[in-house]
Amino acid sequence: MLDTDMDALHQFVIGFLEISALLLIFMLGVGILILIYMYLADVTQTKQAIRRNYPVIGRFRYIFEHIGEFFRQYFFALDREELPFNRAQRSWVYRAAKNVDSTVAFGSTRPLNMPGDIIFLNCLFPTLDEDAIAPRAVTLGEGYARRPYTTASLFNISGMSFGALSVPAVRALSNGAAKAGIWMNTGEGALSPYHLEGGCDLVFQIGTAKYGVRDAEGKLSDEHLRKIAAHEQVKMFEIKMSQGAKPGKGGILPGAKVTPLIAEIRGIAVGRDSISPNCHPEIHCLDDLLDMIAHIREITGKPVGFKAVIGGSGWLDELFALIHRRGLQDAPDFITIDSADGGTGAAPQSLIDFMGLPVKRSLPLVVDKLNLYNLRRRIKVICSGKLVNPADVAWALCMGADFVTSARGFMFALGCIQALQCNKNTCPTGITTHDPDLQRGLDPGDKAERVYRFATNLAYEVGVIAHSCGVKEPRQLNRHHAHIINEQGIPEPMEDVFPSHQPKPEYLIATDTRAAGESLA
Amino acid sequence: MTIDMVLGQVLFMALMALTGLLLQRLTRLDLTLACLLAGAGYGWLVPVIGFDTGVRAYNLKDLVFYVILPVLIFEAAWHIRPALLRRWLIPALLYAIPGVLISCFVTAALVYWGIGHPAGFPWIAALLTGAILAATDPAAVVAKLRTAQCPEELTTLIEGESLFNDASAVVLFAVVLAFASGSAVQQQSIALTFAATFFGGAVCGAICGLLAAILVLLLKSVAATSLVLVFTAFGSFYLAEHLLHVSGIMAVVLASIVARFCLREQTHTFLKGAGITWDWLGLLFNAVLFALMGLVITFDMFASQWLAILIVIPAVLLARVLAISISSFFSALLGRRIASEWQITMVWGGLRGAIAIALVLSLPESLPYWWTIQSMVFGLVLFTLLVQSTTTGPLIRKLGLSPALPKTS
Repeated sequence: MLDTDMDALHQFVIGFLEISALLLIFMLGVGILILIYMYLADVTQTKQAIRRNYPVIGRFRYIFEHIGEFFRQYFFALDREELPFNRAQRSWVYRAAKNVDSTVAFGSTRPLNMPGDIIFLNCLFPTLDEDAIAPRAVTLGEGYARRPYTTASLFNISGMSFGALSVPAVRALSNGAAKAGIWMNTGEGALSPYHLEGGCDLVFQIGTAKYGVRDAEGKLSDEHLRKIAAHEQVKMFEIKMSQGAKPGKGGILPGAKVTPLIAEIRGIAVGRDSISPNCHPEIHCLDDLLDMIAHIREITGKPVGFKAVIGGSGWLDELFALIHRRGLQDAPDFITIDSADGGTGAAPQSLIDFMGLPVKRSLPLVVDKLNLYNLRRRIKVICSGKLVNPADVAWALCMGADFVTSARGFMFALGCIQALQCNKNTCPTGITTHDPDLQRGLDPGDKAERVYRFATNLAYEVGVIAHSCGVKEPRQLNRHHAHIINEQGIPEPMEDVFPSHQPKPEYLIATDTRAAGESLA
Repeated sequence: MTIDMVLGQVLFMALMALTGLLLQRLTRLDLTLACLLAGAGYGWLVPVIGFDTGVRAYNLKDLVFYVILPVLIFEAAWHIRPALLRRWLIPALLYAIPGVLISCFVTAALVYWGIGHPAGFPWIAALLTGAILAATDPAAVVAKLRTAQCPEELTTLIEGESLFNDASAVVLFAVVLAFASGSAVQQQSIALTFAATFFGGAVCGAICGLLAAILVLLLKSVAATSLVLVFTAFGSFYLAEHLLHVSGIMAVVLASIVARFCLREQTHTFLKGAGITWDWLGLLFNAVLFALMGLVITFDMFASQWLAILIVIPAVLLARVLAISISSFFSALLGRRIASEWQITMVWGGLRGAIAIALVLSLPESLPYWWTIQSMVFGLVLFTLLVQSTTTGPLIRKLGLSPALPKTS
């Protein structure tokens, strides 16, 4: 009995070994065939010299090159090494969005001697919690637009058009913004039902193709403008003169992306290429710009401003002088300064890398000029460009900005992992793709919560910085509250590097009397 | 059989194909229908002039299987873009394996119930009918989708489904036939046999494809490449079916896909001639196949078995609806949703052709019900060609799948 059992086991083991051996030989044979094929394919092809000269082995170079891109950020990149956003910046957003502890221990990993970096000056008597107050509300278009817009929010969502962003991403942003009490810019892709869904304040952006407010020929349509303005949620209008990614360049929306929904919202034909010129065809000079602003404000009754990347700055002097000549009623209610280092948009690398001033230079430039022409109170300043952490926002407030907006910060809150695929329809997190399989991963409900928490945690921490500096609320920060590290690695007062300007006497008198007259009336 | 006789028969077939092409040019019918008509014409003419075509019921299956199918399948697999196939592989396989099983059993049940004559038409006969009619042959529909510029992904899905369901239907047919003719395999090994035949064929074909790629890279010539590829098509089928007893169709499919993938960098060098080679071979053999079908069709079938044909048509349509919708449901569970417009196109565009004809002609005449099955299959194939194929164009326009043609309301 035992013997037969042993026999059967013996048989089974032998059989198993035989099959395994055969399988191994078979696999080896197939492996050798594959190697022969690879060798022949490599020496025959003509596209890659490495593979021709080093057949089979040369393939590893291409494999590693490909996977290296994905693994670098996990294994090799240091906390403060990557661009556009390093891991320290991104993790702060992730943690804020998830509402987990954002404190760090054992000192700063930031080298505190890099030229251009900012250091805030703490006060010996920081603001007590009971003395702290909420950020002061700011009113745009006060006294000039029929329906001015008042908000206390510091940090808002910058323009990303529907179409560039997926449906669930827009819905999450809209709901999150409503909960956090901040505004959301529609981008130039017009107003979609998903923007309105959450009930947040909206800024309607008018791009060069006038999507959403265009007539059949692509010109600005007053009738459509009125329709957009009739939405209570739309608080302001922004004319987009140029975009940070590609100042001076327009764009083409390929016909394949013009779905019936997008076509209806934007007012274009389904399936046809749609061209955004690189400049508004009806704006050729500063007078045209002011005419357009006044016209839109007249039609809509809401504050109107424009967004631009600052490059050459002579026109700012001309514009502000012109405003004084024409009267303050024609001035833009705000100017949005876009940094020149690009956002989600695809653009030629030379424009992203080299064209236009970064916000570190353009923000003080514009604020100083506004002060010089005594227009600081009339024209509010909104600035955007890689400002995603509390210190960045606090810097902008010190420098004189009224509001900060960010697109990519909120994308991180939505779950962006900086895969740099925004223009390829392959965004792995479903934020900038139309592929329903990829969009499936993005749950609007959960991400709306993250958007809300990111916005509120950021505003809270800007408050913390302000209180450490000894002021009661963030909007009281000014250039005396920060130092900038100079080329020797020594902090230097911000006021010395960017001295504040006093209004020129000729503009001081005129506007002050006018302001006095208005307040009397 | 002497050489001149074989040559005469080969030339006769080519003549039928050419006549079919001419007829298509003149009448603007579908190629398949034109060739069918040409075949039927010669079928009437041949006895009159007393020419021996050499085509017999017993050798027709071998002719179709070993000569015609390898070319048609290799050609179809060759034209599928690997990237698209990878994207749609899961739904295609779902349609091809569970879909074929569902289609086979539902057809069988409905036909069995519809005929209601257990003695003359038992379960096993119904199952044979179901297996024969499970494989689709969408060549005519794919041609229509291409000219209407429908999404390439849809054509890939339909072609991929057809490639793999040919293989699974043939294997299923072999298993059922073994039961029917009494040489039954053991009960528990049916699934195992099915899987071994199906995937054994795939492995065999993949290795053939790899070897073909190596040979092409060694020979380094455009003409030799076409030669190697044609040899691979016939060789892989013969090797798998004859020597290894695994699925020849799977072998050809995989050989074609693997060879195409391995040689993708040579598209503009050695493969320059391959496209044309497969074009004309595919055209010729498609024409020959349908001409052969025309040759063996007789009016008798429809006169005596019209009721059975009327039963099988709705049965097959219903089975197809169930197979597609259930497989699509599983596909959606696995993360690939198939739009309902696509599903409708797949149901209506699921024509039956070459495989069904070849399989039914290979039924041994010792089975008492073979005549009924053959009539039903021929009738159904004719129905799909005459009705479904011709109405697919208006259908895709109605569904708005074609950007070239405006949607009609």
